[in-house]
Amino acid sequence: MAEVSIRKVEKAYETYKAVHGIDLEIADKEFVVLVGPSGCGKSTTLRMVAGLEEITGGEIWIGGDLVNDVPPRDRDIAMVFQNYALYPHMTVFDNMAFGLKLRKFPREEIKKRVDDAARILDLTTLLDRRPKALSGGQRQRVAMGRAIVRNPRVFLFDEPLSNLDAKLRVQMRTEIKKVHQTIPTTTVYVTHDQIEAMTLADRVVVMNFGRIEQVGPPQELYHNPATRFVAGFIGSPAMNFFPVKVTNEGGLYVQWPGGVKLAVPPQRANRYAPYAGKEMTLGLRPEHLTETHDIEKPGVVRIEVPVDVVEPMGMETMVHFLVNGEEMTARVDPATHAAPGEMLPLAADMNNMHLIDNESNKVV
Amino acid sequence: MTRRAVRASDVARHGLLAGACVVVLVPIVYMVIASFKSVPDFFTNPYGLPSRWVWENYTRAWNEAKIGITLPNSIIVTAVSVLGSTFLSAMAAYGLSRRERPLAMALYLLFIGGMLVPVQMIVLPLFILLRTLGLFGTLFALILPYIALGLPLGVLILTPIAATLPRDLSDAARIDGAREWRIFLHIILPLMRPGLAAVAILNGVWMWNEFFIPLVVAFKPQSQTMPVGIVAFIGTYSTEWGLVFASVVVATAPLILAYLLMTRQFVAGLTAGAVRG
Repeated sequence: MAEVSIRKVEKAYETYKAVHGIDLEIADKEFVVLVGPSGCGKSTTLRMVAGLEEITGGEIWIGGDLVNDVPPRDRDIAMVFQNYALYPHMTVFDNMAFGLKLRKFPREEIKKRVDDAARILDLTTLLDRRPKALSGGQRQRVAMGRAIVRNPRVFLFDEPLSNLDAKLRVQMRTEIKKVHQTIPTTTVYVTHDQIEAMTLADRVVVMNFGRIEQVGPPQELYHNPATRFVAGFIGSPAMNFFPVKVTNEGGLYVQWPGGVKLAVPPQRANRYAPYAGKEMTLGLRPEHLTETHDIEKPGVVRIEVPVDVVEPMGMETMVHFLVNGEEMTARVDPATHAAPGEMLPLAADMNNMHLIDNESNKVV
Repeated sequence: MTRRAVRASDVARHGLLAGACVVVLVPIVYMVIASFKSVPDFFTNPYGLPSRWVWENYTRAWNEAKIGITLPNSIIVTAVSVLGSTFLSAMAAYGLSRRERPLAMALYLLFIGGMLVPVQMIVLPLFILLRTLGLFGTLFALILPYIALGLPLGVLILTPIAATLPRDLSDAARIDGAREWRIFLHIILPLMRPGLAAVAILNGVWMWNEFFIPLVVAFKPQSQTMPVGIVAFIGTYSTEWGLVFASVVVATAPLILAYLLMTRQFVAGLTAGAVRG
C-alpha cells in the first residue's frame, strides 16, 4: 500500500512562497497528474514528495510513514526527470542497475529485473549502448526502465515528455499508460500540457500560483470546472469567455456588450437567477459554438459572428472571430462555408454554458 | 573560396604549425644532443653533433646525481601530490559549484587567490610548520605543500566544469539510493575526467620541476628530488654540462610520456565548460 498524503505543505523561499499550504490525498495505485502553467508550484511539489526539496511547512506521508525528514534514498520512490538524467558514462544496463547495485541486490536478481524492464520497454537490444548513442524516445524509455526496476512504492514523473517531438510525445504517452496498466503503482506526474493530463490521469490536480485550483477526474474538470482558471486551462482550444450582463426580462438572459441576448435554458435559470443585473463572464467551449444544424434543440441559440481567421484541421475547422476585441473560437464541420470578413451564423449551445463570477472568478 | 586561396591558407597554416614545432622541438633536440657531449666539446662545438658520443654521461649522472634515489622520489612525490591535489580540487570544485550560498563565492575566491601567493613568501612559515610536525627527511615534507599549492589551479579549472554537470544527475543518483560520497565518486568524478586530466598535467609539470621548496625543506639526500640532484653538477668554477643535460633528459622523459598518453583528455579538459553541450 502506498498512498501519498500531502497535508498543508508549504514551500517558501527567501523572497516568495512557491507553494501555499496545499492538501492532496493520492490513493494507492492511483495515477495523479499535477498540471498548471510554469511557476505554479507543481514541480516544487513533486520534488518535495521526492525529498529533493525541503518543505517549509506541513507534512508528507508515503505509505503511512511521515517522510518530512526522510532522505530521498529511503523514501522508496523512483523519479523520471525531464532531461532524462541518465548517467552518460554508464551503459543502458548499468544505468538501470545502478539503484539495485546500491541496494546490494544479488547479481542474478539485478539481471533478471533489468531484463524484465527492458522487455516491457523494448530496450533489450540497447542494453550495451551508452545514452549518447540513443534517440530521445529511447533515452526516455531507459529513464522509465531505471524507475521500474526498483519496483518502488511511488513513481514520480517530472515533465518527462517535454523534450520530445510531438509525434514521439503521443507515442510515449501511450507507453507510460501501458506501463501503469502493467505495473499498477501510485504515480504522481507533473506536466504543463493539459492533453497529457487529461489522457493519463485518474485524477487531475490543477495548480496555479502555488495553490490547488481543483482536483478531479479529467472529464469532471472538463465539464464542471470550478474556477475561471481551470475552465480556461483545461481544453484545447481554450474555452471562450464573453463579458456578459445577466438580465431578467420575463426569462433569464445573458447579454453581450453588442446587445445580443442569449436565453438561459430553464433548467439553469434557478441557479443563475440570483445574479440578475450583475456583470458576469459567460464561458462556452468551441465545440458548443457550432454550425446551425442543431438550432431547433432546446437551449441552443443562433448568433452571427464576423469571421476573422479560418483554420481547417481536417476532421474539423476552427473559426476565430472577435468579440469586443477578444478572440473567440468556434469548432465547426469542415463542410461549413466560412471565409474571413464574412458573417457566419453559429449555434451557441447554452445547455453547456458556464457562468463565472467576475469578483471571485468561481464558476457559479 | 578558390583553390588558390585554399592552398595559400593551407600553406600559411602549415607554416605556422611548423614554426611552432621548431620552437618546441629545438630545445629538446639540443638537450638530447648536448647530453652526449664532453665539457670541452660542449664549449667548442655548442650547436653541432658531438665529436664523440659520450654515453658515460648517463651512467655518471645516474650515480653522481643519485638519480637512483631522486628519480623514484620525484615519481612518488609527484604522483601522490597530483592524485591528492586533483582529488581534493575536484571535491572542493563540486561543493563550490553546488551550493548557492554567499560563502561559496568567497571560498572560491579564497581558493584561487592562492595562485597570487609566491612560494618564496610562504617558505619560512612552511619550514617552521614542517619542522614542528617532524616531517623533515620524509617525502611528506614535499607532498603536503604540493597538494595545498595545487588546489588553486585545480579549483579554478574544475569548478566551472562541475557547474555544467546537470543537477538532475545527482538528484537521480540520490533517488537511486546514493549518498553524497557515492554520488561524487561514481557520477560526478567520472564526468569531470577531461578536467581532471588537465589539472593533473598542469600541476604535475610544476610539481615535477619544483626546485625551491625541495631545496629548502628536503635537504637530506634520501628525500631529495631530481631538480635538486641535478644542481650538484653546477659548480662555482665549472659545470659538467653533459651530465646536467643527461640528468635533464632523464627528468623530462616521464613528463613527455605522460603528456603524450593524456593529450586527448588534456585538450578536452582545457575546453570543457567553455561551451554548453
